[in-house]
Amino acid sequence: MAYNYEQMSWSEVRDLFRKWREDNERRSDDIVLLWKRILEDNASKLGNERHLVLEQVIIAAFDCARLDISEKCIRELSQEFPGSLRVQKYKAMKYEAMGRYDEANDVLDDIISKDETNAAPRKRKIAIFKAKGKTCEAIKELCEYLKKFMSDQEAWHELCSLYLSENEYSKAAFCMEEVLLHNPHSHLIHQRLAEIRYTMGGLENIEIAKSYYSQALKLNSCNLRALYGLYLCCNHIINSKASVNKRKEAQKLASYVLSEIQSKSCVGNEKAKNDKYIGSLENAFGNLDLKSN
Amino acid sequence: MTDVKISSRAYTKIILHAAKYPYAAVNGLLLAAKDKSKNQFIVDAIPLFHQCLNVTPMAEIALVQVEAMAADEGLLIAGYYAAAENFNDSSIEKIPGARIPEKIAEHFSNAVCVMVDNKAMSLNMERPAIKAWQNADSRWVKTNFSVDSCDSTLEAVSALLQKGAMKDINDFDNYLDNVENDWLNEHLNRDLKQLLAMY
Amino acid sequence: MTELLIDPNIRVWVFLPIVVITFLVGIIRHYVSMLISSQKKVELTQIQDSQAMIRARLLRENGKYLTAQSFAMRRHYFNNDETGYFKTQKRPPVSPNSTAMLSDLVKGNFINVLPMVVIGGWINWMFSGFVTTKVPFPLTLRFKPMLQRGVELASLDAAWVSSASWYFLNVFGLRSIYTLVLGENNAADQTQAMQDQMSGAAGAMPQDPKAAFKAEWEALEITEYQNALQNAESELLQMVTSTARQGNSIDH
Repeated sequence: MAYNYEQMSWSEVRDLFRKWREDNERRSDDIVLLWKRILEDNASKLGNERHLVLEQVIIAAFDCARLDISEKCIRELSQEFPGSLRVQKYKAMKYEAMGRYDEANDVLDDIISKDETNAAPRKRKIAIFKAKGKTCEAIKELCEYLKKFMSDQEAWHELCSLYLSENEYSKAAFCMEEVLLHNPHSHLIHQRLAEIRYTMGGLENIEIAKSYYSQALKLNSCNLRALYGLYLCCNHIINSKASVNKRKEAQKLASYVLSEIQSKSCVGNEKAKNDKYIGSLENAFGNLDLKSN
Repeated sequence: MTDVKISSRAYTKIILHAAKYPYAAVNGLLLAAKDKSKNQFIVDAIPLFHQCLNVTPMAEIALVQVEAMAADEGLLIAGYYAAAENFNDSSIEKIPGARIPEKIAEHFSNAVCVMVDNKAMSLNMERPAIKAWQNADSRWVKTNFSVDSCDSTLEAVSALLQKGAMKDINDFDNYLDNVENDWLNEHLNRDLKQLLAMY
Repeated sequence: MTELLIDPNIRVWVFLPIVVITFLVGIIRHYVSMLISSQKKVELTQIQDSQAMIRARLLRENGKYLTAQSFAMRRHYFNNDETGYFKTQKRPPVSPNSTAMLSDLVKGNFINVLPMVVIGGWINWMFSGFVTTKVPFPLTLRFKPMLQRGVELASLDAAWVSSASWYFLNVFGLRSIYTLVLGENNAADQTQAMQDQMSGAAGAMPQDPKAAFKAEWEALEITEYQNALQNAESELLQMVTSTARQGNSIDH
C-alpha cells in the first residue's frame, strides 16, 4: 500500500480526498477506511469542504455496502439542508443500494417533478435500469435523456458502453464520435474510436481505424494500445486487396510500429521474454481473427 | 464430456482479478496442459482486461501473445473466464466478451468457460465462487468441476483477499497502460503457502 | 502652513458613525436581498436549446475529426429542411415584459440603487462640511474634487478628506470586510453587483432562440467538411523519418 494510513494527519487525508475527487478515482474502500479512522472525528475542521467530503463518503460507503456509514452522513446532510433535492438524491441512492428500486424510482420522480431541469435524478433512473440488467430500457431512456441534454459527454460515453455491451458497434461509434467532438485532443478517445471501428470490420472501417490510431499516436507517442492497434490495421491492409501503394505504405508503417513496440517494452523487467511474445505477432498472425464480418 | 479440474493457481488468479475490479467486468484466459488425458486440467489463468471487453483489437494481440507464451511452457489456451459487471449476472448468456470463447472453441474442442459467481464472492468463501461450462457441439453445457485441494485453496484465497493481495495482480490492460506491469503475474506462480507468507 | 488640528468630536460623531452606518447598511442589504431574491427558474426547453447550440458549435469546430459520413449525418440532423432540429424546433420569443423579469428588475433597483441614493443623500445632508481625516501622504490638487466633496476650500491641502468623500471611500472599500464577515459571494457588495450587470447576460441563453437558431443554422450550412485525419498516417511516418534522420546524422 502506497499510503501509511496509520500516520496520516487529517489535513493530509483531506488533500488526498480532494485529489481523488478531482481525478474521479474510485478508491471506495480507501475512502471508507480513512474516513472511519481519521477524518470523521475531524469533520468539523473541514469547513465548507465538509459537505463535499460527506457526499464522497456516502458514495464510497454505498460502494462498500457500508450502509450504516452512508446513512449517518445522509442524516447529517439532511439536517443541515432540509428539503434539498441534492440530499434527496442520496436518499434515493440508499434505496438503490438496498435493492429497493421502486422506492428509489419514486423518490427520483419526485425530485424531477420539483425541478425538471435537474439532470442527476434522470441519470440515476437510467442507472437503476442498468442495475436491474435491463440494458435495452436503459438505452432507450438514455436516448430520451440525450435528446434534452445533448452536450452531456458523460452520458454519451455511458451510452457508448451500453451499445458495446449489446454489440451494436456502429451506434457505439456514433456515441464515441460525439465524445470526440467535445475533446478532440484526447488520445484515449481517438484510440477507443479506432478500436470500435476495427471491431466493426471491413476494409473501409479498418482504414478509418488506422487513421484514428495514427492520430492517437500523434497526440501521444507512448500509447501502447494505439501502437498494437495500428500494427493490426496495417497487417490487415497488407493482406487485403487494397492498391499496391496503400499496401506499401502499410508495410512501412507496420515495420516502424513493431520496432517501436519492441523498444517500448524493453523498459519492462521481462525484456527477453516479452520480446519473444511480441515477435510471435509477426508469424502467428491471422490465426485468431475475432472480427465480425 | 469430461470433468474439469481447476488448479489452485488458476482459481487464485481468477478470484484476485475479479476482486481487484469489483465495479467492472473482467475477463481472462485459461491454460491447460497439452497432453490429452481424460480429465481436463486447467493449470493456469491469464488475466486480460477490465476496461472495455467488447472491442477486439487488444484481445487479438493478447491471444497471440498468450498463445506464444503457453506454447513455450507446453500449455495451450483451453478456455475463457469472465466476471460480469452486474452483481446478478453469472449465467453463460450474459458473459461479457462472448466472442473470445467462441473463437477458442473453434480451435479447441473441449473449451471451458468459467463465470465468476458474484454472489458467492466473500472474504470467507465456503464454496468455489465460479461456475463452469464446457463446449459440446458448439453449445455451452454446464459441467461439473473441482478445484484442486478445494478446502485449503478456498481458505488461502480468502486469506489473500483479506490481506488485500488483489491490488498486486496485473492484467493485460495494466500491461498496456505501463509495460512494467507484468501480465504473467509470476509472483503468483508459487505455492499458496508461500504466497500467504508474502503478505 | 500651520498644521490643522481636528476636533476629537468629529472623530466620535462623524468619522466613526459613517464607517458604522455604511457597514451596517451593507449587512442589511445582504440579508434583505437573500430574503426577497428568487432563484432564477430555467425552463427545460431553454437548457435543451443551449445544449443543442453547444453541440452544433462543437460540430463546426471539431467536425474535421469525424469521417465525412458522420459529419454529414450530424449536419443533416441539425439543418435538414424538413426534419432538422434548427428548422423544426419552434420557440415562442421570450417576451421581455414577463412578470418574473420585471419583478427581478424592481427588486434589484430596490436593493441596490435605492439605499445608495437615500443613505448617500442623508449622509450628505447630515454630515456635510466636515473635514474628517487626512491621508498620510501628499497628493496633487487633482485629487481635491475626489477627496473633498462638499468642502470647497481652495487653500486646503489635498490630503484632507471630507465627510462625503469618506462615505464613498467606505462604500467601495468595505468589500474585503464583507467577505470576511459574510463569506464569499455576498450580496452586500455593490461593486460586485455592478460587474454582474455588465457580464451577466453573456452566460445566459440569448433572449430569442429563433434568431440564435437561425445564426447557428447559417454557420453550420456554410461549414465545409475537411478531414483532419486524412494525412495522419503519412504525417506520423514523416515525424518518424525526420527523427530517424536526425538520429542518423548524429551517428555519423
